[in-house]
Amino acid sequence: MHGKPLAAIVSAGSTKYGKHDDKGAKELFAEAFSEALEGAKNLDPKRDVNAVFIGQMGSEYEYQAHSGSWAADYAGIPRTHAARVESACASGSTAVRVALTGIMSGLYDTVIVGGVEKMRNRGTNEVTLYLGEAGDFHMEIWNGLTFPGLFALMATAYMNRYGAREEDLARVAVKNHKHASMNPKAQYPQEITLEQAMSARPVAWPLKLYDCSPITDGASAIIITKPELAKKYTDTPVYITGFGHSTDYLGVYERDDVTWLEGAKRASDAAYRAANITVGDVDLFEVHDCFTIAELLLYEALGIAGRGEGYRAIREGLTYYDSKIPVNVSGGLKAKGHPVGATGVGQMYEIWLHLTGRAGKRQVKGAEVGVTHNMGGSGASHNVFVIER
Amino acid sequence: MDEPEFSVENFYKFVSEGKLMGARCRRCGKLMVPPRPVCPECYSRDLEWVQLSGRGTVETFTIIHVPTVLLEGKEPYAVAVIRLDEGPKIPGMLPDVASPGQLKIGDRVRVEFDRSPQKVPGSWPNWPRYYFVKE
Ligand SMILES: [Zn+2]
Repeated sequence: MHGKPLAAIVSAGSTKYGKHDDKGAKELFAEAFSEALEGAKNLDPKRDVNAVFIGQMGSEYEYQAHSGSWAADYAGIPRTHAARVESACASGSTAVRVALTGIMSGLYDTVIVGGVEKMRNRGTNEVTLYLGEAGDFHMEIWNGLTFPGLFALMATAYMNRYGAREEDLARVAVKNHKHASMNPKAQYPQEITLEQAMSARPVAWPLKLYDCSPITDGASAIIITKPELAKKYTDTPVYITGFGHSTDYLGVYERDDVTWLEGAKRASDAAYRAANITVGDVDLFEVHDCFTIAELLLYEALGIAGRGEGYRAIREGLTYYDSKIPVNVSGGLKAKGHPVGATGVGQMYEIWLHLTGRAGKRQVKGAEVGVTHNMGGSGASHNVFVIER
Repeated sequence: MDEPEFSVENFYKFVSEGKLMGARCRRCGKLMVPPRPVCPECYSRDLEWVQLSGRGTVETFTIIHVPTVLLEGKEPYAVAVIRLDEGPKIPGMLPDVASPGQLKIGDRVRVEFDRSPQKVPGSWPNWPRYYFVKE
């Protein structure tokens, strides 16, 4: 390990991401939690768990707020410390951050962290409005923007400035679908061709259907504890050794340079520094590819590629699971699916699989250091974690 | 002097009068569009409303094909980030632009106003919209 352990992930679990007509957020969370619990031997939540934090963006979908309380109840510990944590699409990783700071402060020994979103019970235009809440409603959404539209603004400017092409965006989708084909929990495990992606209908030009992450139901959960307790609950703990966070202007229009995710740069710099690593030490990344352009901008912000050169990395195929710098081996938000509040926790689940050798066909061989990047809204919040074994 | 509150609600009230307005900080000169009640640079609350020319340049844009429920049926339409001549940037619709060939980064645009309320009175939000057309 490069860094000092801040907390240990002793187990993790996840539902399949996709369409769950017969399950709501509560049942999805329960399923993910139960899988995580099965992997944590000797852990009795009623005795050992001090708190439950759950990431969830929208209570509109099911007219059900107060998720901290129901999550604790469904975890069998109705009288504990709990809260729903909301930071748009970064809600899940923000719940992890709240749990981590609770453990680091000495307040908690062991915490259950969930992430969940139930979205598929709503129509596309309705979901588009709810997701838009992560942007600036009064100026952006009211004036016709949508969530894909906000990232399309970045894509138009990026292509204009650096000479990237729509094909480069599509290449990200092709890669992530390829990865998802090896992930039994992915929503869209079908491989796609570049031609398919290029000829899909536009959503927010220049972004087309395959440039956008889908609408997804799903939940993920992890159990984290003080490093010194980890071996009590598992023989294969992994450790959070660094984290970084930054907000940014809420509105895309307020930022000096819409082709650059400054918040992601700051969060990743802080996380690498805390874990005492450089980008070259990382064996795999899970990054927030809510739209294909976001993955390219994140190559740059996280130091995987130079500024203005992210599209070259995908052209050269550098970020496939069996290439130099594996990115989104799970299939990413694009093809694994994006149950908004679950995503940040699901990224940690994926890294946990690889670091403990459980990732099956898509296993990154010998993975020791993984990095997650989870983004809120159109880049107005970012959480980066370094996880090591 | 009795200035209307520096709020988004009042920003859109001015739009209904055919004016694009911002707030200027009297202490440090910061121009805020939309207005805010407290200057984020120097924290002064000594502000004044100023009318903007409504002219600017396209910094980036998109063509929306899947709108929110708020604008269902109006697609396709463009939304751009406009750099106003006074400096601040704001997003704005270009309802007449339906394909990427009709607009490019750097194009000059000017503001127009749709002064009619958008929905049934009593609902929220019920703001009129400003929008942009190519010069
Ligand atoms: Zn000021």
